[in-house]
Amino acid sequence: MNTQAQQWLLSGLFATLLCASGGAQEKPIVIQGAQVFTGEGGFTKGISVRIVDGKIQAVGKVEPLPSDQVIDASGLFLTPGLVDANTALGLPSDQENEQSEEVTPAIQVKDAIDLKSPAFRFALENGVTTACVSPGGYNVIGGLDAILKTGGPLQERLLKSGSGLRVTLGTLPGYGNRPPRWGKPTSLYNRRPTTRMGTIWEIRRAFYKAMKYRDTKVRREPDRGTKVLLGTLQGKIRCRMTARADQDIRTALRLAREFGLKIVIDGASEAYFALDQLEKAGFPVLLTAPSASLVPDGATPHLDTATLLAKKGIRFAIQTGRGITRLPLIQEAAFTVRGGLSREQALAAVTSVPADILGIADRVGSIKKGLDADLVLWSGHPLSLGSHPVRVLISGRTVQGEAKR
Amino acid sequence: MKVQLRGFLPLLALSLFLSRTHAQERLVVRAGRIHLSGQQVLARGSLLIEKGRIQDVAERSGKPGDLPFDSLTPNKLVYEGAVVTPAFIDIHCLPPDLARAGELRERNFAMAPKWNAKSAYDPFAPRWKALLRRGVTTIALAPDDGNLAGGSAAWIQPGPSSLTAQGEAYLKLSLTNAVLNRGRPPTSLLGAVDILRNSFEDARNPLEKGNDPVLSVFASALGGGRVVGIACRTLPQIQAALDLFEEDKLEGFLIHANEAALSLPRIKELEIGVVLDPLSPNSSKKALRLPLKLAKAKIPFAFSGEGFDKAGLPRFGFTLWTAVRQGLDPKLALASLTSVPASLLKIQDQVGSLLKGRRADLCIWSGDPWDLRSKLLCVVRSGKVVWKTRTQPKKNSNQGEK
Repeated sequence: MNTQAQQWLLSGLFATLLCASGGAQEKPIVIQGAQVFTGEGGFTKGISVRIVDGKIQAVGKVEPLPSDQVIDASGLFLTPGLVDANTALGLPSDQENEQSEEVTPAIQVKDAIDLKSPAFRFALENGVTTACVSPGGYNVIGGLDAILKTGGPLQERLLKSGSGLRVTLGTLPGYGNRPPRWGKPTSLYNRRPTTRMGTIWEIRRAFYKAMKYRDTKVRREPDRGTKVLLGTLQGKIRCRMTARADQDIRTALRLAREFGLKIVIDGASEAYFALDQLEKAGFPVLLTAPSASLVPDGATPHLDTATLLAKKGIRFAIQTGRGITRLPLIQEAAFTVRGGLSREQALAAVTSVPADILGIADRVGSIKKGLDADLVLWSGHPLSLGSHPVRVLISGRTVQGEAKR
Repeated sequence: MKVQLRGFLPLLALSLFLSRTHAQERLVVRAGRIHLSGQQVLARGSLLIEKGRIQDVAERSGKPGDLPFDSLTPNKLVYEGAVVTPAFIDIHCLPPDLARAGELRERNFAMAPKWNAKSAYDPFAPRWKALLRRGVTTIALAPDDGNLAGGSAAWIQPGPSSLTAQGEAYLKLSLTNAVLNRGRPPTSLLGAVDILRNSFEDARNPLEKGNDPVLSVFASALGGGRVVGIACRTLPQIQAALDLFEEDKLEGFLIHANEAALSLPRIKELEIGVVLDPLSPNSSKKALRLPLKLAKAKIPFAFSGEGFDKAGLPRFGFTLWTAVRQGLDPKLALASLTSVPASLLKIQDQVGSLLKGRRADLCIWSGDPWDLRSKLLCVVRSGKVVWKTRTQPKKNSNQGEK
């Protein structure tokens, strides 16, 4: 056969393969044979999942039609795609905050996220399909977060933007701020606050200003920052208060009472000190990196914090946060199991619970009819160290795993 | 009888003088192929120029004696077989000597929307002459990328001449890393976008706006009232720029936009253009393929001449050659330096093509302008020859008429 003919044949074969793979994406998919974790309870055998047009159409005993693409997942474990409630995916490390001011409520983090960043691929490889990216902790009020899918077409990635406001307590917002008395007079870093007390005063001042506007009769159109703070006061915007140390957790609860805020406690490394107060307040907790040994604000993390929260009946989710020593989300969940938490609760704390806290439970976080088909097939039990995602699907498309390769 | 003649003679002299000056204001260009605009091409043609504008265009059959307009004036430019194109437009001109001296940037603060790049324009600088030799007769002198709102770019026909036309071209905004500064806001892209959003929001609010001169600049751009050019390079910067275009219904184009390939559907939907950096064979693969992708998506794009050769002046011929070598349609490549920048600047009824009524700004080439072997023979600006090669083209050099 001459070279040209060979080339034609090869290109024809390639085109056929392309058509075949393209067509397969459109077909309904049935995953059968796996042990399934739907978002609560444990793993169940004998459940199949049918996916049509990127959504879960049926869960249970599903008989695949002849036109369906069947994925035989015998011996594998199927879970919803993991939801990470606090990350810095796609944000350059020096640009997580606008540091020329300490109170920047109107800033939207979606403006700076690089969707091509390899950090998203890393998250996908570890089974995370939805991530909440929030502004960094160097501002007292950092701005509005964004909730994204970690894979799939760029245009379809953004799930929600501006649904949560990040407020940081503790020493981080004042870190590196020079008090005017000793700093260079022209430096940008002569900003307030310089202490923990100053940080809390800045939060109070911002909310008092918004309340003053709210209670004034003759008023002008509010500026964008005030609009966000008013939305937070009305409970339309979720207020994520980062509080790691015991005193900061107590302060967060005090501030919530003072302004009538519905808050989510973020970080909460020393939550074991304030269990009763947290239980009484009823706010959910986002526990950052239970594996971490070194946390800012002088907080001391304990391995059994998650177990204690679960015993008290406090709703909590596990997240990776943004420390350089953080582990993949699933391994952080595994650490809480080491601290005494049940496997089911640990898995729920990285799937259905964070989705519920972030207000996206109608889209992701569980395997239920009508939700996005964001699924992960694991080689073994997800919480055992040797397991890895064999295939990750986002909206029914395989974005990571053997089938992709 | 004598008395009658005495009265008639000055009148005769005056009419003769007038007709002669009229003839002097005319110019006929006789050449081979003429690219009138992006898609309109005459295989062999003549142009009649009067008072600096294209008065008429005629296609010639090539038979001896078929010389339209030749009887109207003795002023002729005859380049049989040469190729005539509209002169080039540099839509984002940043002469490096001006930029290096910091003339096109306000360093103390990020927001300088009232600034006008025209203030930095020196008509007697030698660089403009060099620019004419490269076939560029119209520039948009732009503030550089270092300011969040850098001010107005100015469209200028450069050179020390009374023929120059000037006007405000577009409002230049920038979201590139050059804006970020540890000594003044903004320190991050987050902050940069926030400041611009605040400005547009305040400009929309009549109570805030009042007589504020800065906000009035932003107010003028709202709803497409004025062309806006936003410099952005990376994907997040482009996405943020597109958000601004969408939220405030702005009209204009992205500048640089190296990663625009990932946002083509949105750019198309928002009906905005893209100004690309000049091309060379050393450009990245991504940059080399981007014009093709833009052409396929039917998004208008132009090339800027920003700091290209050693003197920092554009070599558009090189960009044309590279783009065509990558597989871009030559007519489209030529349009990206002539008619597209003119329409992006909204001066398409003045320059950018050789249709009737436009300014007579044209280049005469020994062959296709996208062929590196071709030479620029003559540059005409507003009907006046501003540069001409001394040597005649060799007989064997590649000719436009094949």
